[in-house]
Amino acid sequence: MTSALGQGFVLLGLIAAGFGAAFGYIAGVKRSAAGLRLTRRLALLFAVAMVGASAVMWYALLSHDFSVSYVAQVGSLATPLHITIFSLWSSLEGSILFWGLILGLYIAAAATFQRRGHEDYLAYTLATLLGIGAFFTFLIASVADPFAPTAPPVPVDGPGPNPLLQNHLLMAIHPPMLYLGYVGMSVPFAMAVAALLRGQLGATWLRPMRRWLLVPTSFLTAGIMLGGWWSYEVLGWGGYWAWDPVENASFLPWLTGIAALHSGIVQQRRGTLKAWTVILIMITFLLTILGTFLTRSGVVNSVHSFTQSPIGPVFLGFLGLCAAAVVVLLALRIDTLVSEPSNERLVSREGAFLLNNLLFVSLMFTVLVGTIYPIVAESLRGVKVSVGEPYFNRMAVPLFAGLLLLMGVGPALPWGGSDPKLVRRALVRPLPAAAVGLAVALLLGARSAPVLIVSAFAGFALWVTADQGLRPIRARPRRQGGRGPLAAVLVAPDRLGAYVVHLGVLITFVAVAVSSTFQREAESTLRAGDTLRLGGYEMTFRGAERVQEPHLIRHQAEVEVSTNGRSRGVLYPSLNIYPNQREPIGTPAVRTSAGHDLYLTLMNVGSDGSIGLRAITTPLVAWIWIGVVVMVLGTALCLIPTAAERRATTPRAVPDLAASPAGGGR
Amino acid sequence: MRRATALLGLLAALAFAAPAAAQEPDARPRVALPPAEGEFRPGLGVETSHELGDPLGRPLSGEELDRAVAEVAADIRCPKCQALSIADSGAASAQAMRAEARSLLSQGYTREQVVGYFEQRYGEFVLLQPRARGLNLLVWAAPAGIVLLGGLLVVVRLRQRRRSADEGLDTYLRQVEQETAT
Amino acid sequence: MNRKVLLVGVGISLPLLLVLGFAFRHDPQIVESPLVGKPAPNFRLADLDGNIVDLAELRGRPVIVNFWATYCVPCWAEHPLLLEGSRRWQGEIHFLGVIFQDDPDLIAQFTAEYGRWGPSLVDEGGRVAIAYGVYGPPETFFIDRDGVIVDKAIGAVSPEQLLDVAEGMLARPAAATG
Repeated sequence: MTSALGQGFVLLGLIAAGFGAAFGYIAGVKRSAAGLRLTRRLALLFAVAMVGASAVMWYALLSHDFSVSYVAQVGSLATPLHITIFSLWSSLEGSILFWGLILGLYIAAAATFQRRGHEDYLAYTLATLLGIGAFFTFLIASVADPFAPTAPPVPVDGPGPNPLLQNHLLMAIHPPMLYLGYVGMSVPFAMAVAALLRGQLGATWLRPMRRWLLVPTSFLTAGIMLGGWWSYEVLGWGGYWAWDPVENASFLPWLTGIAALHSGIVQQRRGTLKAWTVILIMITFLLTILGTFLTRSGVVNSVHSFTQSPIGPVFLGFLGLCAAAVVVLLALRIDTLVSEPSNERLVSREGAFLLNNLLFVSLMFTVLVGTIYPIVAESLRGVKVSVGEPYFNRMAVPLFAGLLLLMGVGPALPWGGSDPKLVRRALVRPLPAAAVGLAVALLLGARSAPVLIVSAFAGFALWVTADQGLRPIRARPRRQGGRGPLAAVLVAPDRLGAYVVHLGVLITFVAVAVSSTFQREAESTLRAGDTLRLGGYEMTFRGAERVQEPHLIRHQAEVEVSTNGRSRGVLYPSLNIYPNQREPIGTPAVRTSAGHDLYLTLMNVGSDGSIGLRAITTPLVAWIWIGVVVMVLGTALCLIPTAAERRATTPRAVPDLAASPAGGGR
Repeated sequence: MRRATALLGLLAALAFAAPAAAQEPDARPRVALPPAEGEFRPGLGVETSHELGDPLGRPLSGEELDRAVAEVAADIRCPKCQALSIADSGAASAQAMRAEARSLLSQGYTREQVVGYFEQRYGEFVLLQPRARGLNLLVWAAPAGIVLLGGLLVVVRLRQRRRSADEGLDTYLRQVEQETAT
Repeated sequence: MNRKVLLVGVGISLPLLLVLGFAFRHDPQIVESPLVGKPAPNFRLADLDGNIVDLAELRGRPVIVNFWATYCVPCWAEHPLLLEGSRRWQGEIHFLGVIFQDDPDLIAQFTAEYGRWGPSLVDEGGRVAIAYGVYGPPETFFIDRDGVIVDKAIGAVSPEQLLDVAEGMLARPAAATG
């Protein structure tokens, strides 16, 4: 019964998406208002169908209806309520359904908010989105059907979701964030397709596109950060980023998405790089599909991946189809996007943007090559090889350092850069800040060249970021005639937002550099009363106890932490044993402070009551997460409409002022 | 025929006595710590020189040894885990491999010998950085190649744009034509 | 039609797709051992009762070395098969178990209850497992009369493989001394 209802909704979604894609395309060709209206209705219907299907699945999960195959696979009577709710995305089929739900919501949003000033493109945009929707509903209806009835006899209980996913609440928000980022990239992609089909790319396209690109990029940022945090809090190895193939897969579209955001700025200011921005957006979308394929097909070794399934070949087919469509469309239509003439120099704001794009794209290629090289080697040499952390660190660190340098130099440089005196002054003024950065690093005991270089670059960039970000507020008395700082900011919130994002990036950057360089660890076997010492901490093992919980057995060690003989509290690292899983899973205990984290992992519990304890101190870890929060806040600022846009969207619609080449005067 | 009967016998063994069914899952994690360096019982285990040949370096100790162990461990993939090195992983086999690396380095084997030993036993898969030879050169050369190629494109573009900017008016007119045409 | 874009697009995406397509032919979890065809690393280990087993002294008869642990489910699954095999080829093939990261007491308990197909050797520090490049239990190495590893099973050994490799090893006389 439940199965049939869910499958009905999926089928409804498939029909709505299929017809919507066809009608939308025809409406686009014929520029038919009635056709567009129909397409919008079908888009909303698709969203309703996806919400319905997900609601049915949640109902089945919560009512422990084991006649639904997905529930039989991930459900369990012993699983706590909140984990049951999250188990919608804890396994392959459910995660694809969840993907469909998010796509439905994005499509509904695009159909609703995209009306004004975008009608030229909207029919093609919706047609493309619904085409993607048709593929995913097809997946849900065929090879990844979560609603398939369980083969009788229907079990009375199930195994429960993967224990790693039960271990921490972060698992509740990490996948949705990542999916919101991944799926959201479909919207700018669809808009890029529409622009190519229309053969024009003006300001009415660019402003909304930037917004639709900012939102998923920001979700992706948050999703990647939460994944790192989850890895740190749950996996117990003391790190947050291992260059695991699935982590890389989420990193790839993030890199090109950010490149596209930057090239969009040049397009907005100078009317150049139009075709390039479109290409970047299309690559970003293809990379989200590639990433999903890598995660779900079981072709790579990863801690995050789902098990091997028939979904792989289907997904690869879809990736091939999308790639072919993109290449053909670009080849046919790219010459319709003509850049405005402009004189460009390398040492100018435009030049910095070009280099920024070069570095982001190179970074993406590097990570891509490293991630799929094991597959290449196995196909051509028949040998299994690994490409791991040492390789990626060695390759990516110089590129990141280059980006950090550009983050300081770029915003300091004037557009055009034709006046050498102006250029020289812009580059000399932040130098004292770079010296301060270097001095701070030296004082803190850093001696390695990469850390010193990063510190100097960071000092430079911090000064430029603050200088540029605060400029509208400082310039206020002259320009805004004495209005408050808030009003000054609100003229162009995206400008301040952009520098807030840069500030967040700087914080995260420095925190990553410091935390990965100055990590210390110690490891020992302890009997009750024994003490392990590390970096001023004394960790005394008080005893271990065995706790029986409904869905797991926890071995928990009591470790008293003190510094200089003064107690700083008690930490409880533990090893969890799930009845259906053989390997015990450790949950580290972390003591976080502004300066550094103390991280305790229980390695094992001996039959004689002794424990193996591993202690790690890592400086500035908390600042990695704080930096990402700052980035997300900055993005939110960017989403506030500028004064010009607010004027443009008052009922008496006037032409988009922000669009004129001189737009905003910033 | 003979093979079939033999196979039947073996299969029957599997079918009739499966301890798996009877085994109670024990609640205790049963992962034993490997003994610290120097606790190996003499004369047991593997004979190091038989497996690796003679040490080519000098015995390390103290902080120098710690550093060498950390360096080697960061490059070796933990066989039981995904993407983690034996330096990062807390798995028992990773601990055992760290202890082995420490013992070998303290006997005077060089870093390269120790890494080579792991590679020889576990296969190339165990190296987190592929060796720079043959096809693997691809993965090492690609990043620099991409940066160079991209940099070249940027330079060419700037050249072209500057030239076309001189004929700016022409281009502008052409563009106006095009935009009004659509 | 912009040919440059077409060529670059096809040039990048086609090889990528082909590579990804090839990936389906491989299981990412199985790593071929470089030791097959090479002399078996020698070891001297004590069993649970303290008796020393030296692999080199067993030369002349095939040896099956199985790395296992009581926490490993496929190890339980193959246990009866190894019992049957050790019975079938008694006096012809040596069966040796090497304990992989497990408590000897639990091993003793397990073999007392479910039978013993060979000595359970205590591998202190897991050094023998490293010399054999064991990724995780169970792994089974087939060593012929000359002390050369002729085959390896990852995961529970199948009856077909056990039978074929064992009979193959028995059929070949030793090369050197016989």
